[in-house]
Amino acid sequence: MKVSILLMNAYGMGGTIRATFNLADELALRHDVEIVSVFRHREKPFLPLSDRVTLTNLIDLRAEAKKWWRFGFASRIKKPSTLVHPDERAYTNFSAESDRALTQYLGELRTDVLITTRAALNIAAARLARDGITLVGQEHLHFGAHKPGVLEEIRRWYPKLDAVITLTDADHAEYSQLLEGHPTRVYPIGNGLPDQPRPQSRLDNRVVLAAGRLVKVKGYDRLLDAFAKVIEKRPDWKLRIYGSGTNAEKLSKRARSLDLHNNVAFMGPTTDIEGELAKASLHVITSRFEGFGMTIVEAFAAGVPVVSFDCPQGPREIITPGHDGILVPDGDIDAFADALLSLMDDPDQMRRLADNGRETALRYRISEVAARWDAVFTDLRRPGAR
Amino acid sequence: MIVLAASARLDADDVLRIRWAEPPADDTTLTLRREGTVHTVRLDGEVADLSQLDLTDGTWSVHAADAEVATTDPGFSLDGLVEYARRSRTRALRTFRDPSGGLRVGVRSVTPYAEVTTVHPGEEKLVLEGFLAYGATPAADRVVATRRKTGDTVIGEATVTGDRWHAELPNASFAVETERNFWDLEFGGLTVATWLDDIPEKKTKVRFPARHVARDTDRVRVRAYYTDQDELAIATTVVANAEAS
Repeated sequence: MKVSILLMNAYGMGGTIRATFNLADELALRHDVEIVSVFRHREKPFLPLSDRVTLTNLIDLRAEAKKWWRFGFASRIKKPSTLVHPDERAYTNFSAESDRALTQYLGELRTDVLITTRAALNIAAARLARDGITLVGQEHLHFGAHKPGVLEEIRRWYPKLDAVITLTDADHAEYSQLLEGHPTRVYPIGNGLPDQPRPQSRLDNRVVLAAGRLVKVKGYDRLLDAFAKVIEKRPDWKLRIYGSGTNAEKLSKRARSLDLHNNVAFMGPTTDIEGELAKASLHVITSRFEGFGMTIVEAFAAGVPVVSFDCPQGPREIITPGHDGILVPDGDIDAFADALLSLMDDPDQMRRLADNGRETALRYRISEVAARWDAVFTDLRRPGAR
Repeated sequence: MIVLAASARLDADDVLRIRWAEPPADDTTLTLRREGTVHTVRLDGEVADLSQLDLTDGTWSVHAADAEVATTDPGFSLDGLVEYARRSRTRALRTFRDPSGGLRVGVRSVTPYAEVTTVHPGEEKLVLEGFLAYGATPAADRVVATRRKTGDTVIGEATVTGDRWHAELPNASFAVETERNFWDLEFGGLTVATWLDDIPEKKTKVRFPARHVARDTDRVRVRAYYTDQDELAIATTVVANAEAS
């Protein structure tokens, strides 16, 4: 069976791309799997991709690709998209050129299953994909994170999809309600981790790690505020923030104004987040919302306890508070600092949480996750399924 | 065949101690390989003494029974790096896990220097703290900032307690600028740097707050920063009063 997976940009970094690469690699054991990236801005993907999976792109933005640009490309790439709703969070990435490329790609696509990985692409597939393809829309953002215009389009177009895959049970409930009375099926399937020996933390470095794009939604402003309180009592601890993004300068300034310069390092992006997690003793999530929280599972697998704000939706479904991590009321900076301090002062508790986290991580083995995807394909493609 | 270490660490005597998760078929020898050069060392089950090997600078992969040794140990301990640097030495070894999972031994020639652990940019003075690495002994109890363009110097007091050092440089002494300039630091003849972690290229990752020295019509902004080699230096810039925020 041929499975095509459409990503907005497979060449960037982040949980969605890492999770998609993991899934594609595992599905490729049984299927012919290709990843199609709408955009490409570098020679090779930032994150490693298995050679079992083919990777192509629709729009090559690299300077050296200029000579291949079609007539009118340069003006279309500057014109806003009319296919994608302006309320889409990544709207500015899309353009009249991506409208053209997506329309052509979806109209000509020859595949058995098309998996699309964000609302704009799910909607485009529902509108434009050829008949006869099993359309599976995956949601990496949680339901409540969509702005009104996108929600309206979801209501209108998702009923044309064969299935919607959510990362959490909470989103499963939301989409089931939204699609009630329509043939579209909704399945909750979390992200998965490859089955392989993974680096393990000894919890011997006084290092707290955060990872993710330096953008508002990740809440690093809240993290810096909380960490400033932590180092009043534990100045021997360091915070490492991995990732890049538009808020980098603002956050660096905030760290300096909070006198965190001896304790915080902005590490930039890494291709080896699991190796970096294993050097740390605590992983923190201060996001305003988190569709799943891939690094939570990666931290668990590395034997690193997680402290997270109880933001919608992912963290509360992965973390069992007091068992493998700590959930702090969303936005309560003092409580977040207290949670970190309580673990820093209690290595035994830290070790207990780490051991339990390793067990939790087993539930997210990619072999099990991919088996659930296969069950969905079978379900959707049996005669008379729709 | 998989040979996997659950733990692989070097002690201060350069003895590699391995705890096997998947032991090799032959646990009597280890080989270290780099660019066609191979060194063989006796492996006593889980212990191999690397101190006598003539390892050149660079990264060496580790093999046992013809298989590359993989590891789940990141091999990284901040406290361990500090302990290791407390001894006088000319060569420093580190074990670490390559992103692909392979066990590596990193080898570096080292010279004694002053490691910086904290930087406190105060309103009146810049306070630096650290320890003396690899048996460093400062020739004098003073830290000197040398202006790159002119060779002018600013001298600050320093004290040493055991292997810890503390130095203070008055901000006002840097208010001699008419343009942007840079000042390199040394402590009693020693390089002043932060090298005992796994954070290269600190220039963009760690940034210190600036302080301002007021003059009649303008101010001089004084800011400590890391150079491309992760040595600590000072940048000074003249700013008009209106911009000095």
